[in-house]
This record gives sequence, structure tokens and C-alpha cells, in this order.
Amino acid sequence: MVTRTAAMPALPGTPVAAEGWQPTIVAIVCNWCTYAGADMAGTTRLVYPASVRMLRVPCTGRMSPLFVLRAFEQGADGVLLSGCHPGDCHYVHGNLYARRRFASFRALLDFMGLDERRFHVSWVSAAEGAKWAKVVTDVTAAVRAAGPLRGWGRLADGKLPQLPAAPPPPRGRPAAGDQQAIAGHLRALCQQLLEQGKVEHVLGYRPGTLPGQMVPAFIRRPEDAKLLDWSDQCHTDLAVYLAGAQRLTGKIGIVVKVCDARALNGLLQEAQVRREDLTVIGVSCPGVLDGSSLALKCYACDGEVAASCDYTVLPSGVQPGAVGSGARRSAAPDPRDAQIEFLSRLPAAERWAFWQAQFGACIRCYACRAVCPYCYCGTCITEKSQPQWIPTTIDGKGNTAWNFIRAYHLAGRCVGCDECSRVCPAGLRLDLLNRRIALEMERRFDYRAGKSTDGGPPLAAFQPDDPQEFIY
Amino acid sequence: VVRQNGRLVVSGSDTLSAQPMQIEADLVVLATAMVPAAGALASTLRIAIDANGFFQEAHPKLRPVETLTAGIFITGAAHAPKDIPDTVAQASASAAKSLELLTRTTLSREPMTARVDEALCMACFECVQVCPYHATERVEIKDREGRVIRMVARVNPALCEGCGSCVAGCRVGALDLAGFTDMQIFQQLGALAVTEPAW
Repeated sequence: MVTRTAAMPALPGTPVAAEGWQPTIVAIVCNWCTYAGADMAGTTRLVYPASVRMLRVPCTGRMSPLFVLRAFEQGADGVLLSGCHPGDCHYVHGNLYARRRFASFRALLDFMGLDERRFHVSWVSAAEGAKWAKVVTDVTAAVRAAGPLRGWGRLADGKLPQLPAAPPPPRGRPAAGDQQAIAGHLRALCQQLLEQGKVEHVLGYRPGTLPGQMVPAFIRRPEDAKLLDWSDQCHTDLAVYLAGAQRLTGKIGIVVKVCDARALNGLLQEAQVRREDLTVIGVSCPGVLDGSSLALKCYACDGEVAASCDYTVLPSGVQPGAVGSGARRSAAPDPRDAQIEFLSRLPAAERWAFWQAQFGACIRCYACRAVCPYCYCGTCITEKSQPQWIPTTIDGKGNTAWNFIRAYHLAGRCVGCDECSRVCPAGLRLDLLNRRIALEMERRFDYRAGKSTDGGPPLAAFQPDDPQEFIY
Repeated sequence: VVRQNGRLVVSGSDTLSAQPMQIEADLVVLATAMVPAAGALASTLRIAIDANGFFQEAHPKLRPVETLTAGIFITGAAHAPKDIPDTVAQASASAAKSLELLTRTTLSREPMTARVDEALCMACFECVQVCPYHATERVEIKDREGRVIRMVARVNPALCEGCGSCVAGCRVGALDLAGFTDMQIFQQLGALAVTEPAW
């Protein structure tokens, strides 16, 4: 038996496993199928590696990605989740919700660069003692091949992969004339709404104290509507303020860009906003700028104003209802997709090094949380101390857990407004994490967040035939 | 069943001795094949079905006629193809179980149920969407004048079976499952995952 010292930093996946080294694998199993299946393996005297340590929970539905992170953080070399086959769940379909959750956080783990040989999911029924023995044997072999997990939450040595740069700014920047026209229509519409008493407040933009800067504005008096403005610097997703504002006031009008309108749809879907007290003023936004070029998020924008809009403000005037321009802001492909593709093609260890360097720069200011329309929880999971799933210390472990869980909690919800990465003082590419998981949701569940207010988020739903190619 | 030398030969296996066997017979009567029709009813009553589509009991040995939906019992061919004596025995058991429920003045349930910390709940109601037993419900919190201040989710412990699907889906961590609390699992993971055990 070779002992390992935890202090040695090395890349995860470095094959340094000595002969006779037995990996530590945490197996979280459901009470009714796999736990009984493992029991069956024991009573039929099947031999399999003594590398798994089992944790019994009632159902795969109880298994949270926090468990997996905590196991790795504590030093597990691998994690195995196992439960009943689809259709056999003791609790009707807990495993089908679990399958979607596992698929999403597996995609995220993989994108973060965790060696895929370390995380496994299997369906093992109470009668499948032999399958359990085989699964444990295979998983042990895979984890053994991956080697001891070192450096969870540690900066890696060596050269960091460099992301390919975004292409130069495309032509066709938002025309200044269009912006002034939109601003004029907005002012007139908001003044009218306030005068008619249709809304008590309007949530919009006004010029800030810096040249060109636009800041959120709460307008109460009709004569103040002239303060409202519009430009390609209207970054803030005003939906962030909506739930709080609705607690303090009655009828409210809100100015939303195409991306913000999708975030608003999500909030309506999650019952965070009272629709009956809301007037949605959609702006057929010609795109916003990041520095002097079109913001990356605008490449993914299809220009379709969400159907929940009561008015649409176009350069040509105000139209009732939702009127989409239907024109993409840029014909060029989303540069983030090329960057995601680049990262996905790297060996896991290099991807890990990239993200650990990113997370290493995080100062845990939680600005990403403050600007996110979906981070509306009164008490964030990171502020919970009983138990403390996410270490609050600003170190690799704490930062890895925080950034992972933040991204996971947005799975199937994030509309890609990219406010988190815009405000990050450390310049973390949170947009890549969000976009990666959003692409996974689209590919796997054919779901785009914020497209409509019908149905629930994809992780609170399932299809009996959801893909499960990653499950034993 | 094959015809050999003018007689019918039935091939099968003796499951006790694990030997293949053949029986020569003059007349073979085949039971009519049975196809379960449990699908729609199962989703309405929220009870599990097995791999073949028949209703599934709560436990094959200890709770053979109960389902996981309290108060619903299964009997006869709804459970699996059965002969008449088995069906009658099971029906008697179901009747006795129902009487047992109906004669009681109070209902006792498993203590492993989910609970909502209403101070934390953000009322996104994903727990309501994922609950297979309709045990989570939307509740209005009112002030003294009866105005609704906010909404929260609440778990009806009489309906909750304790699967924990709602708990794992709750982002704010307002839900917890008695017997398998976050704290208990957190501590277990801390003990299990350490690479060099103390012993």
C-alpha cells in the first residue's frame, strides 16, 4: 500500500498510480435497487474490488450535485451514482428527474476538465448483483487508470491554454439615429403610461455620470419620463430589480431588451413576478456594445422580442404586442461557440488547468450573483452554514465549488444575458460556462430558456426516453 | 410446444434443479396471454409500474398488496397474471388492509418526509412540479389583515413518501428530508471520501 501525501500538487489525471494502489470511490446508491443489488452481490458471494464506499439515500432523485462535489473535495478519486432502471423507480419517476440532473452536471464537470473516468452513473436493480460487481470492477479500473485525484481546487503548473480571440468587430454597428428614435418613442410611451395611471413606476435607463454610461432609472412622475434614454450602452438586465420592486410598489412598467425579455419569461415561469401588475415594454434592441465592438451575447440574439411584451419599441415607432425584427444582430457565428469548441477539444487536464486558473482569480465578490436575474434567492446556498456545501474561503476549493454550483443552478434557466461575465472584476469567462450548459440543454432536451412561459425548467421535467448514453 | 411422432412435447425448464425438461402430452391447454393496461391509471394514481407494465407493490415480501400511494391497494391481475385462489387471497388481504386504515381514528406514516423552511423558500415551486405524490402545495402567507404577503411551498407529511426529489432540486436549500438531511449526508461524505482512513 502506497500512501499519498495530499500536499503534492499535480494535475488530476496524472498517471502516477503505484501498483497496489486502491482508489477511493464514493458510491451514492438508492435504497431500493442498487443498495439491494449490492446486497445481492454479497449474498451470492461475488468478488469485486473493495474500493467503493457506499452512501445510501432513498432515491436517485435525492442525489444532488453538491454531494458529488463534496466527495471530490474531500479526496475521493471517483464518484459512482447508481439507482433503479427507468420505469422501475420505487418513487414512480425520481430516477428520470435524476437522469436529467446527472446529464447536466456531468456535462459541466467534463467542461471544467474533470477526467470523465472519475464520474459514473449506473442503473443496477435489486436482482442485478452480478451487474453491480461488474460496474464496480469497471469503475475501479477506470478510476485506477485516471490515477489519484490531486489538485482539486489547486492551480496547475505549466503553460495555460490560450483561448482563440473573438473576431474583429463586425460592420453594421447600431445606428445612432435608430437609437435616438427608440429613446424618443420610449420617453413618449412611458410618459403616457404614467399619466394614464397604467403604471405607477417605470423601470428604464437614464444617462449615468460617466460619458456614454447608462444606468437603471426608476421613474415615478410623468414629467420625469424625459430623463429616460436609450443607447448601445444599456447593458443592465433590469429584470434583476423587478421582483424587489414589485414587493414595494403596485403596477410597474419595465423596459426590456430582447435578452432581458427572455429572462423575464423565465421569472414569470418561476412565479417570481406578478404578471397582472406588469407592463412589459420590449425594445427591438439593435445590440449593445462591449468596448467598441458588439457584445458577444448579441451574436446569439435572434432579434425575436418575447411574446410576453405588451409594447414593442422600434426605431419606426411603438407597436402594441410583440413585434420581432426577426433579424439576427450579426450574421457571424457566435465567437463563444468557437472558444467552447476549442476548450472541449483540449485534453481534460489542460481544460482543468484553464478553469482552475480562472477560478483562482475569483475574489468571491458575488457581483455575478448580484446582476443575475435568476439569482433571486433571499439566502444563497453559499451563505448556508449548516451544512456548508460551498466553502466560503477564497481558495481553489471554495472558488471551484462556488463557480460550479452557480453555473449548475443556472442550467436550463440562463438566457445568456452575460451580465455576470461583464461585471466580473476578475474577468472570469462565466459566459462560457453558462453558454456550454445552455447548448447542452438545447442539444439534449431541445430546450431554450426564456423562449416561452409555458412548462417548467427542463430540470424539473423529464421525458421517458431522455438520452442516457452516459449511464451503465 | 412441438409435435413429435404424433404427440405434443412441451419443453421447459425446472427452475429448482436448473435442468431443461420435456413433457409428452396428449392435450396442451395454453393460458390466454395477458397484457397490462395500467399506464393511464398508474399516472393518475401516481403508482409505480414494473418493467412489464403491471402495477408494482410497495415491497414484494413485506408490503405485497400496498402501493406507495397511501390508501391504494393492488389485487389480482392488476399486479401480475394470477390464478383465482391467489387473486382471492390477495383481494382478502387488500380488503383487510383497507379496513385497517378506515377503522383508525388517526393515521400513522413514515417519519422520513420532506420539510420546507418557509423562511428560505423563494416560491419557485419546482418542488411542486417534481413531486410524484402531489405532496407539496402552494401556501399563502398572510398578515393580520388577511392580505397575502408571500407564497411558499409546504409539504403535506401525510402524502409525502420521502423520495427527496424536491430536496435535490431546491436551489436555495429550503427543503430537507428527515432521516437523510443535508447535514447527515454532508457528514457521511466527509467521513467516506477521506483518502486515508483513520483506522
